[in-house]
Amino acid sequence: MTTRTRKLLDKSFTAIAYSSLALMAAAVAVFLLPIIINGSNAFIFDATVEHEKFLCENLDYDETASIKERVGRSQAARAPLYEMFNKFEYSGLSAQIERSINATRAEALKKISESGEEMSRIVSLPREKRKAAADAFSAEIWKSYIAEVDRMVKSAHSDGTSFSLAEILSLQKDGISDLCKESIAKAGKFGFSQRNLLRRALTTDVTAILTERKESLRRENAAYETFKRGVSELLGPETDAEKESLKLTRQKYGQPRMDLAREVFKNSIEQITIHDRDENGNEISTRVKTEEFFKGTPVEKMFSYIKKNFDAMMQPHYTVYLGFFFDNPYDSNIFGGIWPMILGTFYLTVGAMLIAAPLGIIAAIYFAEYAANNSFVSFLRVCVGTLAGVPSIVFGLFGLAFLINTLKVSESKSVLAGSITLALLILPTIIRSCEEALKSVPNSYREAALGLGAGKWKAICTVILPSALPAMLTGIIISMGRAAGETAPIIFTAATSTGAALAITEIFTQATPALPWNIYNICSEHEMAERVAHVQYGMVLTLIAIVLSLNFAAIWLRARMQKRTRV
Amino acid sequence: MNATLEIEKKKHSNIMKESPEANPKSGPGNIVEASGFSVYYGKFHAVKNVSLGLERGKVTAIIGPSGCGKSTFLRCINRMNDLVEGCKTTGLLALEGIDIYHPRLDVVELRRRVGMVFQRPNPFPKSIYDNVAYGVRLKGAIRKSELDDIVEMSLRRAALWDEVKDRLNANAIGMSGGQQQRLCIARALAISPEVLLMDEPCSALDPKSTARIEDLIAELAGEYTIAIVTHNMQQAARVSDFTAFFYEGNLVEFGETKIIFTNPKNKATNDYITGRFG
Ligand SMILES: Nc1ncnc2c1ncn2[C@@H]1O[C@H](COP(=O)(O)OP(=O)(O)OP(=O)(O)O)[C@@H](O)[C@H]1O
Ligand SMILES: [Mg+2]
Repeated sequence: MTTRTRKLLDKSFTAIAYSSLALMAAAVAVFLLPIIINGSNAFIFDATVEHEKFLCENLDYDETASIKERVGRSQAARAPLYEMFNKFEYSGLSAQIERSINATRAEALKKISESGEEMSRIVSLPREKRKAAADAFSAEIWKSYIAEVDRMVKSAHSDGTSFSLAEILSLQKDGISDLCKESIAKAGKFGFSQRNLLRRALTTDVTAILTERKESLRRENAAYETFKRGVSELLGPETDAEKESLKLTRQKYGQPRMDLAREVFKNSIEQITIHDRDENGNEISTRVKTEEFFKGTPVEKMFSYIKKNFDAMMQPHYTVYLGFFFDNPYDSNIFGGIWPMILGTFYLTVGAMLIAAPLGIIAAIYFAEYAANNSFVSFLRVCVGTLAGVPSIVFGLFGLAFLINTLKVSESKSVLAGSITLALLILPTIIRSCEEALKSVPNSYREAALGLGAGKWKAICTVILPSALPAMLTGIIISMGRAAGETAPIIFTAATSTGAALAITEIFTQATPALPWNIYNICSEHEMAERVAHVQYGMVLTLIAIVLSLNFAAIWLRARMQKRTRV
Repeated sequence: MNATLEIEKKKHSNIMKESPEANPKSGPGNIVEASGFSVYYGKFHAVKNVSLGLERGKVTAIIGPSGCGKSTFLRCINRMNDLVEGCKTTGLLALEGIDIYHPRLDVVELRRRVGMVFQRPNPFPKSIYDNVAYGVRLKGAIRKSELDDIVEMSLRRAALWDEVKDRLNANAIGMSGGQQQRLCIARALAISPEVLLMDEPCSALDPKSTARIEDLIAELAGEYTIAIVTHNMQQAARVSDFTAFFYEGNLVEFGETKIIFTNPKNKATNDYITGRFG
């Protein structure tokens, strides 16, 4: 091979190595970047005034002047909206409206009782002409009544008060048949079938019209209720009294984040779902645009007010919420932070380490320094290897069946049981890495120590272990990362989806939330998973940060200790 | 011999084993005594029926071509070969009349009495001071001032004191190869062994360091019994009082260095020392 081809080969190998490194870095970036970006969104985000209200009222955050000011401004911006709501639902005018409608109704009824001759004429008409005449008569009678009803609805709409109209119309509709009966009786003497005929002719149309008006108002009211629920989802309850009566934290506060607020605006305010019945009486729900559905009603004004004053009502501002890591979660993680999960992960990991590291190191010392090459030792090695290959869910089941049900290390799930299970899971890895570390200690160290009159155990303690320590620690710390991220072993033995941060004394008896399990839980079991997307990412980022920092700690430690022990 | 045995019997009553047959070459001056000693690595017969004695206070050189079993024999004297799996010995090897391979012998005690310096310097990754103090501390608790004295004396003996006295706490790994080897010698001397085994102590060193170590051996002779394996004929001739020539596991010739180098009885010995093979 000539020098030139050798150089060329050298260079191409270097190029391949570098490009594969770059590829790996890119892959990691593609994987990590979204998590980092979305995850940091959990604690650096565009907050609303509701976020601060929650913190001050539940987590003893200081209510600073600027917070007070923002709360004040948001209240000022919301006041007109609540005003509109109140007006819409105002029923003080209903008596007056009813009176005014009743007056026209009385007129109409009076007209009926005075039209005895006209009605006798109609009933004596031949059958085919009778219907048209009756309808015309009826229309004439009710014309001004219907006009009055429509006028009332219109004026209420333009006034902003409309909620009670549907009820009024409903009463009107119910009463009309009996009233007609009375008036017909007053008008003159008709036979039974004639009376019925007249009554039917006089009530059918007007009842239908009233029903139609009433139904449309009812629909409008129902839709208004939906719309208002959307608004209270966005802003929270209006008054403190209302807030007291609500149970869930998510109902007590509006949206704490602008992204969620916009989402709520889009889904529950800008468009709403209305429920209706089709001709067969089946319930159907349809999505409608608020602006179009409520055209001409007071709700249209409310909507455009919200749209225009959205920012003023929410008071958005960028905030860094470090409490995400140190606060307790509230209402299934919709509010607050993830401290119990972080602490639980910490307990489980450190617990597993405290159990697995000594056992693993002792076993590794046995394998590397003492074990003879016989079949029993080979069998042990196979056992360790097999243990390393057992799926983690099996460890979880083992922990439940053996540790909890048989040995009863705790009543039910506990950090202790979880730690032991995790310890068993990582034990093979620790044994292996420690054994490798011990085996990589040069034999000359052993010879030197023994040659100076050290016993075997002394040589191990004074020379071999210290030399193997960096590599052993590396292995142990990487196993620690594995333990921190394992989900399956803790499902049955330690993890609970909700719960407070545990005190150190409770770890022997209590189950704990932990990041890996809660990530699964919050992503797939949460009833409002899309509302806690930021928490999902935040948890994932935290877990990755823990595992990565453990790995980096291992690298750093090895580099540091190697500098001390090698040339 | 019998007188020595009696004394030793009192000191190490449980580890004594009387040598079954008198060794023709043994004399009262021999501290280490091999007779009919063989070593096997599994089925491989590495040292074959060797009988020789190391005279107290003298330097014995072991020479021979590569693979002839020099190291194997040397390492047997402080049972370093226990570390090698499948290594078996037959015959007798005794230190002051005590059977080295007696099952109840305290190996730790043996190794304190028979120190070893290896071919490649192997200081611990610890400070210079800790390296020298290592063996002393193993013996038991000792006062700091006493330990300081031992460390200084050992380093002085190994002709290293002047070079390292200002950096006793520096890591031994940072020293030069020659310094490291002298440190290993100092480390071995610190526990004041009776016998010092050196397996090619200079093979990794430059001529200057080699010369220093040779001077050191000359100084130590008399006080210590030294066995040194070397491939360097001049070195063997310079430093040793006796020379043993091994060939394919056999002890071919053993005698005073002057005689071996000037008038070897065996033709193979002659060929080897004159550089005709090996
Ligand atoms: N651990 C071992 N297992 C098996 N055979 C061994 C072992 N150590 C040495 N041997 C064999 O024993 C024989 C003697 O080896 P030894 O190391 O004693 O040679 P040596 O004379 O010291 O050679 P050198 O001058 O090259 O150091 C050699 O043939 C070698 O292959
Ligand atoms: Mg050798």
